[in-house]
Amino acid sequence: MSATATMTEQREEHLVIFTLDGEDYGVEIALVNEIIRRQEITQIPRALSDVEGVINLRGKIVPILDLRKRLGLPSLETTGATRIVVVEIRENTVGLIVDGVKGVLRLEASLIEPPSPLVNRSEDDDFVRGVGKHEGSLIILLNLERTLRLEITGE
Amino acid sequence: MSQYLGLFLDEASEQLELLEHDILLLEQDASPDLLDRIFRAAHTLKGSSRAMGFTPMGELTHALEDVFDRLRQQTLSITRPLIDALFAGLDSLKEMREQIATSGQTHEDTAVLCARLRSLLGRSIEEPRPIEKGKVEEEKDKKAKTSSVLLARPGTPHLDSETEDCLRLALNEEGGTAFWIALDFAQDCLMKSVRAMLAINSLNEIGQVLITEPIGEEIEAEGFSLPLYLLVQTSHTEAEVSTRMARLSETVLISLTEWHEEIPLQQIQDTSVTPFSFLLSVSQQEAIDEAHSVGERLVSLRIRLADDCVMKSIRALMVMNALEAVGSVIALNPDEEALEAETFEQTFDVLLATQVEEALIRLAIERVSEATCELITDWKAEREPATNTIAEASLTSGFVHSLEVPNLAPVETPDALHPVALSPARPTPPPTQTHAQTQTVRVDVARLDKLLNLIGELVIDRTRIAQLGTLLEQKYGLHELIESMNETATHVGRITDELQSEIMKARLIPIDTVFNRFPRMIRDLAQKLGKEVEFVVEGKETELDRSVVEIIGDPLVHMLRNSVDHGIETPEEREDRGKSRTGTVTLRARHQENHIVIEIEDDGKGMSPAALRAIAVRKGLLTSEAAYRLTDREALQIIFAPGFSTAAVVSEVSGRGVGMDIVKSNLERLGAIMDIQSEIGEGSRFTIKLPLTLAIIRGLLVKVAGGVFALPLVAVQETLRVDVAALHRINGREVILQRGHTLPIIRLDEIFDLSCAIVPEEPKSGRSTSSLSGMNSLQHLADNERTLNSRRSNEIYLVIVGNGTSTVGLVVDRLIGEQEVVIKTLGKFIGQIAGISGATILGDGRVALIADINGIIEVATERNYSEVQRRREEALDAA
Repeated sequence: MSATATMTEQREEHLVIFTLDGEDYGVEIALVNEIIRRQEITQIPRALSDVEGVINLRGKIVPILDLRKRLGLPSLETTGATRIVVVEIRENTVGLIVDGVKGVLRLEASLIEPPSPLVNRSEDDDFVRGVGKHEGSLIILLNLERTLRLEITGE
Repeated sequence: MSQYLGLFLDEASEQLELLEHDILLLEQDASPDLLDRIFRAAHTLKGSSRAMGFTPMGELTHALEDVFDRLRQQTLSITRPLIDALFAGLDSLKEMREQIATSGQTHEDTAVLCARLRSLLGRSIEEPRPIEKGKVEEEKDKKAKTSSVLLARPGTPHLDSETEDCLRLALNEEGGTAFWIALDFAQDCLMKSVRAMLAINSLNEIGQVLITEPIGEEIEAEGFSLPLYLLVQTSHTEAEVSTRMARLSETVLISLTEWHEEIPLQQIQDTSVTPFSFLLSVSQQEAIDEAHSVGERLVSLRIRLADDCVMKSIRALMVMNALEAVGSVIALNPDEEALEAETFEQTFDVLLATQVEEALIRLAIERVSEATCELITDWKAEREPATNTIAEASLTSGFVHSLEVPNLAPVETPDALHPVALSPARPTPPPTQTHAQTQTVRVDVARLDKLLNLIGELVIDRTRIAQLGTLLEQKYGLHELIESMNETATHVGRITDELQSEIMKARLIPIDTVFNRFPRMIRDLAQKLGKEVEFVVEGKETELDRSVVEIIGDPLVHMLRNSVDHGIETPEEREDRGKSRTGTVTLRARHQENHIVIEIEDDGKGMSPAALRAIAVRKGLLTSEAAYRLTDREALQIIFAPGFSTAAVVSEVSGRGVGMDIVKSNLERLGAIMDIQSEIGEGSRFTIKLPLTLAIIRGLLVKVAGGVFALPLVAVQETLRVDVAALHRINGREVILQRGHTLPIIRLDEIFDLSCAIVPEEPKSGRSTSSLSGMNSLQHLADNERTLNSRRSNEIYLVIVGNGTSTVGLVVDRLIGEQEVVIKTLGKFIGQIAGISGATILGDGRVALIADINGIIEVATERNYSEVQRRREEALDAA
């Protein structure tokens, strides 16, 4: 491993790109455990409204977050493209329901800008840590800790 | 040494627990057996703490040991101050153990405690103190004589073997030489103690003063007799030490001699053929005589421990235990102290009185790993007076084994082959049944947890396989392959069950580990409160899972405190009421079906439901209306309400900021069910029903609104099928009449805001669409089945559950069955949800939620309350 290689890695972000309500979103690939099809979800009564329920992921109970609800987007019926992106961050494994997954992408750090009120609806600012430009389209980079309410629980 | 630290700490806690338990007993009954046991525990602890280099701990245990020794010899009587001092010592030892556990060292100053203990000894000494600090001596008189004789030689006070061993170790490890120095001070010297200290300090500059005679305190007390003997370990030469001493004013150096170990004669003999030799005391001779008189043989054994054996002392001890099971150990060479101090080579000799065949003895020894029996021969002692000098003893009672060896092989071989056949008449217990032979391994709890988790997965998969088999059979009919798969599945199931039950058993520990700290606590508490309390513990051998044991300790402490503090009356009050002065608190544990039941019972003043209601109203915990509505049984539960305390003044004892409400919530977190019974003037009884383990529970699976829930079986009383017409509404609350009582009904689907996607007659908004889309065909099938089953008639299924206080009926759509469920948490992301305690994975891979009965009843009560409130407000608005 040469110094230049490390430098390159630092200047690039490796992302999983998924779609929600017609927009492209990205999360760091390092945080993504797997991507699965939507399966039967057991509702949790009295849980927060955007918590869809739990699933059995190979013997593990994994909570599922309806990302549309969480981000204040209108609900959508499950389609064939619907996927659950299972992320793991600080020992919390959570599945995110997304409209579809596009693939992975390497994005140069120079193409990522901090969130700007011009490109985001103000109430979503909290969830966005940056906006990346790729082939003329914009990719919203999610702040997962914020999205999963991890800082609120005081960890 | 650090790798032994864990072992040492474990051992220390065991010995400390044992000591605490036994010292409590001591107050009531000072039997010789008990005193022996206490002494041994202190002795073991002393040995191990010294071996680990925790000197203060060793010193304090030593001081305790001295007291126990005197008690054993009945030259000291048991008094309250004595017991208090012993407990104080014990507390300090525990403190030190904790310090060592957390920081690897201890910084307790034990001088005060040691002095306190020694002062107890001083007060009742009638005979002259032995020269050395109190020691373990079988024949005190004899030894004292020997010591004084040895002391007559100037410059070398006699050291007991243990001190010698320590010294030898110190010299081996640190090098240098040990000198005995005898000092005298000028006749007109005013401050002998100062001179002595100066001498000691001066020596400490070039080495270390290990022993002083007289001991430190006596030197400080000034009135000590001369000469002063000092044993110093130093790397300096004799001349240097001598010059140093000469420099001290008013001090005369009488003698300076190098310390040599007093080597017993038998050790000097040729080591290539070491004969058996035991130094026998009078009592040992008597034991031999006795053995002969009951027809026992005497056998000498040479036991060899593996060369790479660590903790030889423990192995040796295990061998001793093993041998005690087949006979009685009469003598040891080297002696027990040396074995404990590990100052022996790989072999040691045992003189054993036994009736058992040699092969069985061999077997007993070799069951101890790393130990082998090198030699085993009959021991023929020429009877000589027991008061032999050392030299005589080694000559007369020893023998050269080479003469006996040829006989060995033919004697033992047939025995080894047919040990039972050769001794048919003799009722010899086979070694397998002998006590203290259980071989144990200490296992990290985390590893057991992991194993249990893995088995949990296996349980799930087993059920899954069985279900797949059924599905396959339904689809393809009874095929040979399916049949054989089903058979295998059944077999796997059986093995899994067994595996699970074995692992569960491995995790079980006797509840004694929690209970054993209570007698001391009750004693202290009763003393502080001026009450007389007899504490009875029953069923302390009851076993339960580690996870439960770890949590029930604190709640029990509070409940016991509560019983002594609020339950038991003062002796005067009791007499006035015609009761015995001494109150009794009973702690009971037992198994009941799949649960553990713990009861705390006192014969104190009992609780008055009326008084409790009144207090609750006064403190604003309940409205008077609500208080009035409570049944007597429910009223007793008021003591668990937050902010409640029956004592007029919050006492130091119970009022430590933790109320019974915390106790209750802690126990409920374990899935416990609590009940209180109380008779005014007669006493109270608290009953706690606990699951055996926290990882797996037995649950009743029910279906509610398309979802499966597991109801903990511990709370389930019965299941009913009732006609809808039997439901009544009282004050907006659904009830049924059951055996003359009204039973509140809780609809789980309402509590949980579950909408039933299939049956539309219950109009509920919510996520019917998403839950429908998520269902797989299997569930559709089951749901249709349910619709057919229960909705066709006008019947509903009720599961009657209770949490000790309330009993309610839960409306469910269908009963699925009873099953063991592995509890999994919902995780931090979802957090705590009222009414749900976790989730489990069913055989078909789906997730079922585990209902928390207490939570459900609470939610229902709140809801009912707000409902009533709302209606009342509406009525007000209308008016």
